[in-house]
Amino acid sequence: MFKNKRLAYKFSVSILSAVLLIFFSILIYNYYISRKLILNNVQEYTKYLTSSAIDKSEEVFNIIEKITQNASYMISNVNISEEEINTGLSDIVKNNREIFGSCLAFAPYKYKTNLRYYAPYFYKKEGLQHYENLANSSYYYPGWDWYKNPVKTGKPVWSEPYFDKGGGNELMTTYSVPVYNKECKGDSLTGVITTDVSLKWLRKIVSQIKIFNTGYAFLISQKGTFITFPDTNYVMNESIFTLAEKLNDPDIKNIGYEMVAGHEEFVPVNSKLNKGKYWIYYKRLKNNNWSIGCLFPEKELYTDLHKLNQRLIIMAVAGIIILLILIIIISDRITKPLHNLAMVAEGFGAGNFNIKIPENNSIDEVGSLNKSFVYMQSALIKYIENLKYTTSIKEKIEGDLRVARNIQMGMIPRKFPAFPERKEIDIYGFIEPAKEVGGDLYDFFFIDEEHLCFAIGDVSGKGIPAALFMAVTVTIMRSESQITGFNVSRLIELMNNYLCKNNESNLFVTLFLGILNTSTGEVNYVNAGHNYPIIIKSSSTFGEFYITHYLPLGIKINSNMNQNTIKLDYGDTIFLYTDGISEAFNIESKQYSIKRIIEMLGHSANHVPFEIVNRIIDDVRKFSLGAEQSDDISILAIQYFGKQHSNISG
Amino acid sequence: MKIVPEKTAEALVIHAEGRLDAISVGEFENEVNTLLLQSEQNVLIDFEKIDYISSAGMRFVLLLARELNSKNKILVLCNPNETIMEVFSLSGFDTIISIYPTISEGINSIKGK
Repeated sequence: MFKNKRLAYKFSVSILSAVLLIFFSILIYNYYISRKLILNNVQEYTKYLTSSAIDKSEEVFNIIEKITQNASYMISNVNISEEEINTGLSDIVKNNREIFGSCLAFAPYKYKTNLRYYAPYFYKKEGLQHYENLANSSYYYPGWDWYKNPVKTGKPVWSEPYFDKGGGNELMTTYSVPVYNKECKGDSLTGVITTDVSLKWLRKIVSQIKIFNTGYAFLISQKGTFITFPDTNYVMNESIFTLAEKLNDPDIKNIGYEMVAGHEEFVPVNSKLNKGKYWIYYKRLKNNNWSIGCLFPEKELYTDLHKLNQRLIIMAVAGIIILLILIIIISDRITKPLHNLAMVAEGFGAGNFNIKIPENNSIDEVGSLNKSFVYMQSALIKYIENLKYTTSIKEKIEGDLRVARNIQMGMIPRKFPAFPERKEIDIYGFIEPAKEVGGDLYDFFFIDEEHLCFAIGDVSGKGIPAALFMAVTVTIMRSESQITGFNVSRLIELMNNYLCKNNESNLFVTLFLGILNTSTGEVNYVNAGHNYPIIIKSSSTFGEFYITHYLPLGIKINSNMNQNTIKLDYGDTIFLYTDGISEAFNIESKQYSIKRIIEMLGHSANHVPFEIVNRIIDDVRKFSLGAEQSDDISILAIQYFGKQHSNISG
Repeated sequence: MKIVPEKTAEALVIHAEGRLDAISVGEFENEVNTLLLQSEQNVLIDFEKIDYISSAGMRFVLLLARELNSKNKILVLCNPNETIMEVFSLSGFDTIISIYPTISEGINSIKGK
């Protein structure tokens, strides 16, 4: 079951890898683009919040500046009465919620030539308006910044924020405008008019700025002092620079410089004040060069994005699991029929051709494979039947051939000793067709008491045609010899005539035919195209018969085949063979050769025919070891002892 | 067995190479018969590169000689090596088929007839 999941596994791994790659590419791309968009949006939002807080604040500051400056114009007129002054200052305090107090501090002797210092001051306390002349011995007002700075610069000045200890512990700032008498030549300074402004409203505006969960805004003065900060301990007690110093944080210090310098910027900051990466936006208030900083952690910026990504990943994992299940189901559907076919193929391999192939009518590749299997099955069954049939025929033919071989071999005398009662001769023959049946032949038989007819022959070609021709040759030799007696010429002529007349297939046979007179040792013979026989003399000299020869039998009618005669002495052996011996090939395609036969026979004097023949056969087998027997081989050896000698020995 | 035919005015000259035995004789026979179907003429077989002839090969030579003879054409063998010449003379084939030591002598003999 797990085996056929392997394809599914491959499918899943490759498809899912691709899907994962695509998904994560999209996710990462989306993440970075979203981050950029979110950052842009948040920047815009922060700028908007900060700018609107600044606008609101500037509006208030502008009004206050306007009021104070208008008052200064009024006062610049000469001969203003004390009552007019008091009414004016009182009105300013009364009519403006943000204005906590207002003062007109005259330059020495400018109000009255006999009065050195005069500074009427109206202020609110617990909802009521109070009056005080600041010109007294304990408070020397020309020495204070709110008086000194505008006089020095000749311009209106906003003071640094301060706690008003007398006036309800409020955080305040003072706007001071120098007043000049336009009609007066020389020292035209009349005095300085101030308005004290409570910063409660400003702190409210700034503290209302909130970005995400923990993002906040703070306000610093021109010197960097915190005017608002979430941790109120810092307010008025720390400046951005002292804080940077304490934290040893150059980033904060730099931002402090930038803010004090009145720049506007949106920058990331890795401050030690808060852990992690933060973004800060700062912008100045035009009136007094104070600066609002707006700070929020990046972590919160992307909280939603991270949540979204988490959800996307969860959805993707779920989708991939569904996809995996689908792939497994589909590839199971594909591989199951394949697995079935594999089982069928195994069945075929085991020889079970009638195994049922599961039906599959789908038109996909597996379906067509299934069809091929069905076709293969029927073809295999047909083929096997065919094979069985041809095999049975072949077996029958082979069986017939075995029988034919037995018949052919039965035509040749192969029982030795052939004539145990005949002491005058010893005969041994050997025949081995290259195929089941062959065209070689040898034969020997007594025509009468004295005359032994013997022959060796070789039909052209091999196999069944040659075997049939050989059978004909042997048969007519035996039958014609009954007529011709021991006239060897006549016998071979008759045989030739017969074979020539009845030779449709143009075969021919080489034949050495001899008739031995066992009383005298005389051999009358005719050689029709056969190899020269070899005589092994008992005197150890031997050689081939280089004798007249004629065409092989079956080619041409010839009524003039004359016989020759040779005389054998006691112990002489006549050795006959077919070219299957002399032309036996070894694996190097070399021939055994007549020379080697003669050499072997040279060592064979004093041996009986049985030994001579077997020595040659063994030597030929040794020579052609590994090579296929290419031609039929036959040997016939006849040793002559003669009548007298046999009588003596017998 | 390799067979290279060459057509001359006098005869179809067949340069054969290899062993002319029971195995190769069928191929040789087919080849020669095909060549003879195209044009009937005298045949000269160049034996220079034939190393061996078996009785089956000799049967084919005999058959070819007879066939050509029946059509008033002749078969000439040329340039057999010593062993093959011995086989031809031993079997008496040299008495029924013309064998010449060279191709030119073979051609001349055909011209003369």
